[in-house]
Amino acid sequence: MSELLRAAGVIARRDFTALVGSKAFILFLLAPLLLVAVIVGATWLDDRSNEPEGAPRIGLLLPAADAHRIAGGHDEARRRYGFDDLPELEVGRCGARGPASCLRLKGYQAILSGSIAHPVLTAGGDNVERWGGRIALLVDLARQPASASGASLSVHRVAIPPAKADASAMAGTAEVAQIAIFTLSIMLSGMMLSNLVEEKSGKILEILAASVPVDAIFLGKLVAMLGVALLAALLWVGMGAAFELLLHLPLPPLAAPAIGWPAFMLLAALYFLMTYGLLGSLMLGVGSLAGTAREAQMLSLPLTFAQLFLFMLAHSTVHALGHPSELAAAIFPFSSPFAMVARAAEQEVLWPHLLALPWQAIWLAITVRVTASLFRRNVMQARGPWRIRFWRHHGG
Amino acid sequence: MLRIRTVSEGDPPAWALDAQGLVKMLGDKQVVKGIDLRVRPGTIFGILGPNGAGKTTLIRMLLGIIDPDAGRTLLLGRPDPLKLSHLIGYLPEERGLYPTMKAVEAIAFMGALRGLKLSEGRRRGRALIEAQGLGHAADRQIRHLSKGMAQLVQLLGAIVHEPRLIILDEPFSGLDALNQQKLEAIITAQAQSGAAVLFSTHIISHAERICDDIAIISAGRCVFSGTVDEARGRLPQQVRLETRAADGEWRRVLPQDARREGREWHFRLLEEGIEPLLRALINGEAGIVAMAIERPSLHDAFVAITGGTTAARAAEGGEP
Repeated sequence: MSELLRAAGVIARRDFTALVGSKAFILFLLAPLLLVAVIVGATWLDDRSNEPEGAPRIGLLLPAADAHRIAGGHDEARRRYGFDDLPELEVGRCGARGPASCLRLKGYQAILSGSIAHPVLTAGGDNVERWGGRIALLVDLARQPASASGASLSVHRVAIPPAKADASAMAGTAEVAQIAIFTLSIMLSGMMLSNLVEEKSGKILEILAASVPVDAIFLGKLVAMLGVALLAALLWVGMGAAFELLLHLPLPPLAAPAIGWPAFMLLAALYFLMTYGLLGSLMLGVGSLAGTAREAQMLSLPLTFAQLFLFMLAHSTVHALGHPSELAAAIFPFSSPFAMVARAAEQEVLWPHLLALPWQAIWLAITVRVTASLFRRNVMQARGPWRIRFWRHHGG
Repeated sequence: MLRIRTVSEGDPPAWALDAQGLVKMLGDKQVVKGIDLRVRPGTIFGILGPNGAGKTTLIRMLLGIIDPDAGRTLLLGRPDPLKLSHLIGYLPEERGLYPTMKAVEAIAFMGALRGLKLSEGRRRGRALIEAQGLGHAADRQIRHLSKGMAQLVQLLGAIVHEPRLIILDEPFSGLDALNQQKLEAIITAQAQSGAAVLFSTHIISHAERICDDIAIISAGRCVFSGTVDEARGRLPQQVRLETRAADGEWRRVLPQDARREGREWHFRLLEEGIEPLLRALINGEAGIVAMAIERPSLHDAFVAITGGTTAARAAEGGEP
């Protein structure tokens, strides 16, 4: 076992350094960045078209009469004092939610609650300083018609914790996670397949097969590609953070998942491992059958389509938790990681993941076993089993 | 199935390689038909055979890359080649190196596959390259090396971990004369250091120069196994005679199948020796200009053995 791991380590190290040092890795890194750039650009344009500049909104959680008087004060301030940069006022429709919750849910800059006699301003961050003075003026103007006096504006500065977004927003997070896992695993397994075919056609595989167990080759290649994925993910996160910090570029807004970000990220990483392991080992099995890059493409195409179909199946059930189709997607091993990462985004319960992960691990072990056996049987048949006659006549 | 031992049964059992009854089917065709091989430590063993004889398939079975359909192999006394990976070196027929790897890294990587530490592999690899006068190429990428240099790098990768059994499949193919000479020197040095070397080739001269023992493979069968001298001994010695007289009574003493090429006669040495012929030539005033008794070359023996086998199978109605 230790010899198997040692040999796998040698192969993983070689493959990792070769891949990271190749031009293909640069393209690999750039591809998702282009995707993110498109999303960011689209989001930015969408924000500009939907939200007129200089129109922040203040939510009013006041009795209707008080809200009406504040609105009167708002008009008075514009008319009498010429304030053009006053925020828009909107009667908050937050049901039984308190000001802090309503603030996060509706995206207000601040919430004015209580009453005109005892007004309370709730805001996060620097919005207290930004809007505190103007809101106090509006309250004063609202009090004037009744010649009433009242308490000064009480300010509640709230730290805004990660909000539990609504179901629709969490479904958006689920979709992004599914797309990320699918894209990454398809890209990685594609790279691994072409790498294997290159080694096979370059006759390097014979050196490997004569030196180490075929299982070690198989394992080494999977581990190397996983290392590439981790490095790429780190670079992507780092670059995203750098863009955010240095250029203040808007990143795609994602609602917090139901189980919270730390647990969600952990589960997403595990589900990515499962998807990648399943797809990667299938691709290696296919690669062992192919003698040329063209054959590999032809053989991997049905596999890619099948994976795409399973992804779409799981993707289509994001908005249908508990539906039989969603349950089927969660149970079927090859679509299960996609369906379960969506559940992690949308449902707080954790126990289904404790069932799903071992279930997927069992199928991963079975798949690796079967495809490694296929790999072992076919990898030294230079032209694939259906070309065995050719090989027989030229075998030397 | 022809079974010929390279050594007698009484020899000590410490074979570097001991293969018995190896059979391999590819599809419905038997490409290796019950081959036995035994290689002694510290010797060079050549597997000779024409293209398509089954040499590569045989070597792949010996190394455990493909499984035989019948028979067994012991390498250094043990049945599982991969468990002895650190003691075995292998150069495949079709060369395979990562094109973007540096030469010294390629050698170190091949050593690492067989259990050598990478740092040690780099150190030894550089020393081996420099010993071949290729120090300037140590840090060049494989894709920038000539074919001969790349092949040499791969051979160095096969011996960097100091194996006790080295198996080389057609190591001389595609090399120029200088590189062939270098390769022969490396192989000889490895054997002198105690390693057993087995290589396949269809170029007979290499085997003739450096092999202690050979096996001749033809159409999947081992048709000869023994020393080079034993192979050459399969053919009678040849006589080359040059005379001043073109004809005379003396011609009656020449064998009927004597062949004339210009003023020279070529024929096999008669069983009764050269003296009766010599007396007849002198008495018949043939005027001997030159006369030589020549041992047949391994090439002649190879052609005779493989050709004879092919002809015999054809006569039996079998496949050639």
